Amino acid sequence: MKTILAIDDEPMMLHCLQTTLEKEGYRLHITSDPDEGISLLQKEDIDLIMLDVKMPEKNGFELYAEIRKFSQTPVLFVTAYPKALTPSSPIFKEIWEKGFSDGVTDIIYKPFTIDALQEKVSQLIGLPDGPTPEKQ
Amino acid sequence: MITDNNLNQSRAVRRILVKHNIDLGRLRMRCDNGKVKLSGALTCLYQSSKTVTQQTATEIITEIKKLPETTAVYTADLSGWH
Repeated sequence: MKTILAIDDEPMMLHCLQTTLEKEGYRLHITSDPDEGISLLQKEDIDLIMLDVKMPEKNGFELYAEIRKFSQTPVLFVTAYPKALTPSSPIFKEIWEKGFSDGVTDIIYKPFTIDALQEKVSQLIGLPDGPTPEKQ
Repeated sequence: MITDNNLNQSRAVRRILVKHNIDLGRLRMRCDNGKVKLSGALTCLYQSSKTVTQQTATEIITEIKKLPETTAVYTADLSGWH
């Protein structure tokens, strides 16, 4: 069974992701604490990380840069702010050029449909019980 | 059924889209047994210096068609480019 780690400061969003994706057959770890997310990623076998962009303590881009220092696990950015993802932001520009070109990083904008979420997840890591993609 | 080939192909398609500064959040993409389906908006990231013209769209589709796994590319309801 594929395991997803969702990091978001909005408890309702975490609940929504957990309910939707567990119904699909994925296993979910959820947290609103970025540091706990890093710790879970180091301890557990995670197939996909869902990262909120705007979080109070550490934003999704900073967290992504931290994660990529030790893990090439696929990442799906979840955000309601498409304008935050602009090449005019130096941190995003760096992530876009170095990170997104790995082919295992994607974006979904809130609000999204369940269909769109399922499609993004399955195109990154496959179906819940399908083969695990090769790590990059 | 999503296979390893489908996942490898979707990675390769994403790399092409990123190379062209395409906003992945506005585009839906599905790779299934060699067939690539694109729908939604084919637009560049916010404040990108590039825009998606007909030529860019053609280049993207040509590059996707050249991937060894690709057998067909479908672009239903693809908006945002001009």
